[in-house]
Amino acid sequence: MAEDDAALVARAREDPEAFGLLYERYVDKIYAYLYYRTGSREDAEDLTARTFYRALDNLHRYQERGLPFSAWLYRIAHNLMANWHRYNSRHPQVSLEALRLTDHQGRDPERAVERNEAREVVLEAIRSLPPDRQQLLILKFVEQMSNEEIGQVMGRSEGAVKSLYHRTLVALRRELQARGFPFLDLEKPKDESQ
Amino acid sequence: MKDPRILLAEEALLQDILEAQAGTLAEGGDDTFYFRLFPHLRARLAPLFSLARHLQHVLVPVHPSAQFRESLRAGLLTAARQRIPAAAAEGAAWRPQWEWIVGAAAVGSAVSIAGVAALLIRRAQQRASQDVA
Repeated sequence: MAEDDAALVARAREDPEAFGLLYERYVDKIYAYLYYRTGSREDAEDLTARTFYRALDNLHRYQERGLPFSAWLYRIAHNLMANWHRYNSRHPQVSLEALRLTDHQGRDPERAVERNEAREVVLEAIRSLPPDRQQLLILKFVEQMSNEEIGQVMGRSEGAVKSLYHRTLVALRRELQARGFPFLDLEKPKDESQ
Repeated sequence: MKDPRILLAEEALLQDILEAQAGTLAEGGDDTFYFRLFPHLRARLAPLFSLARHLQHVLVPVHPSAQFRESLRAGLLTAARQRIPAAAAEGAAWRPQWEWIVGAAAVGSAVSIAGVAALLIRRAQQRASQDVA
């Protein structure tokens, strides 16, 4: 049976190999979270590395007390993301992937759909949401977390997460409509009465 | 106009249904079932359901390259080998040494009790000498 996180963390304070196991367990999840937040593989790799180095540096200070190790790790990643956003807003840079995105997206959303790039349009709309809403969508859809787990990462109650999810969907729909994204009109549910 | 209490209850129900739909999507189930259960909410649910379905297709797990994974792992293990003994020593340095604290408290208590006893004996002796005088 796999050792649980708490036992691994306790061991990792004295055994580097145990930290390696924690890394293996969470590297893909943290990377995916940061990839969707940044939209760039290079930045996601950079921030993933920083997240784990920071975790290693602070491991002796971490105490579970209702905050699982995974939630603690996501909080580190989230804080690094916030710093990354602040830095980027002062030193704007455009990644190659962002350039490709803008170029493909163009100004005409219908053409973007024709080029099968609806995904990029939706991702751009997600990244225009406030950070907590982006975080919620990524944790829910990419990481497949329960509301309880999301609440632990975000420091909110399950009820607050549920309510935020509803508001996030409404806001995202509005954002996509403002960008002229057509799928919401095209994809109507089948009429069961017929 | 609808009663605000009904509106609040409807909002709460909407949140619950959206939550349930997310679970259904994650399991690969059919979410149109909820339209049959709550036909009066269909107009509000349909676009949000559609969006959630879209998100499920867009927000899929992604993985770092194997090269990055391995190189970061090697770097972290090297750093861990250097840092973990130092961090453990740092932790041990400020961690309370309970045996010393308990010992010091016991000695302190014994000294206090001895002091009080000495004071009482001295007073008793003083009283006795005054009585003799």
